[in-house]
Amino acid sequence: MQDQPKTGNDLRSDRGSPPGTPRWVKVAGIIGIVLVLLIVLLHLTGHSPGGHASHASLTKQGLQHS
Amino acid sequence: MTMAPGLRKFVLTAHVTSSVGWLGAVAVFLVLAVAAATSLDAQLVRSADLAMDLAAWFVIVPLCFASLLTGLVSSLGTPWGLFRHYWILVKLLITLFSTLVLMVHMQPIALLAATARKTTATFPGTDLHGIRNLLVTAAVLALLALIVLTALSVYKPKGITRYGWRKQRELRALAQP
Repeated sequence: MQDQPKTGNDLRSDRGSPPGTPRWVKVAGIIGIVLVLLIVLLHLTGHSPGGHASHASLTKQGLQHS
Repeated sequence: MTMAPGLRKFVLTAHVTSSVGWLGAVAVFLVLAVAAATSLDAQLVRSADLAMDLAAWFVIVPLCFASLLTGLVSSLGTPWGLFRHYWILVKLLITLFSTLVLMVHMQPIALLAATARKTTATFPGTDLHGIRNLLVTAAVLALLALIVLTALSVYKPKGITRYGWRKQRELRALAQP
């Protein structure tokens, strides 16, 4: 495993303007946003452990077993 | 603050161990979750529910926080920094989000275990089948996230942030007479 950061490749734009965002970061960002939106959507529609339907189920179970 | 080489290696070893251990523990959790969601054997489902609770509280959660903590120390104590390289920033975001999702799922995991402890004669919590399926989905997503984290650590894709670029310029300016 690389112990220290490389300096050559990342410094190509060192003397000019700040480097742009790499393509892999943009792609990862889009995938990440889609996944987060999907999870939030599942939550709002009650299809997640924190969702409305599951909350009702958890409360019901909690009452039965307390 | 930059750590001494010996301490840096020690923290890196702890980070790799906890991160890979977290991945392995989630893989085991996924097997248990699939068994609990698909099996028709009541005893197996009850056992899997109890094992998931133990694995989550005593292995997955500690390894998750150990990975997060050692990652923070490892990046802040070395020239890599925490906000200088995109791959480290992406790793931090994925780790924080995975930790949040894990903690959200601890309540249903504990509920399944509590149901398994109290139910002896009948099939444990058939109305909890939806939660078992969700745990399978969550475990699959967690496993994918952890594989991405491991790949980022190995490949270290290029790309420095604006902050990293400014820091490198400052360091160069200081180094030049």
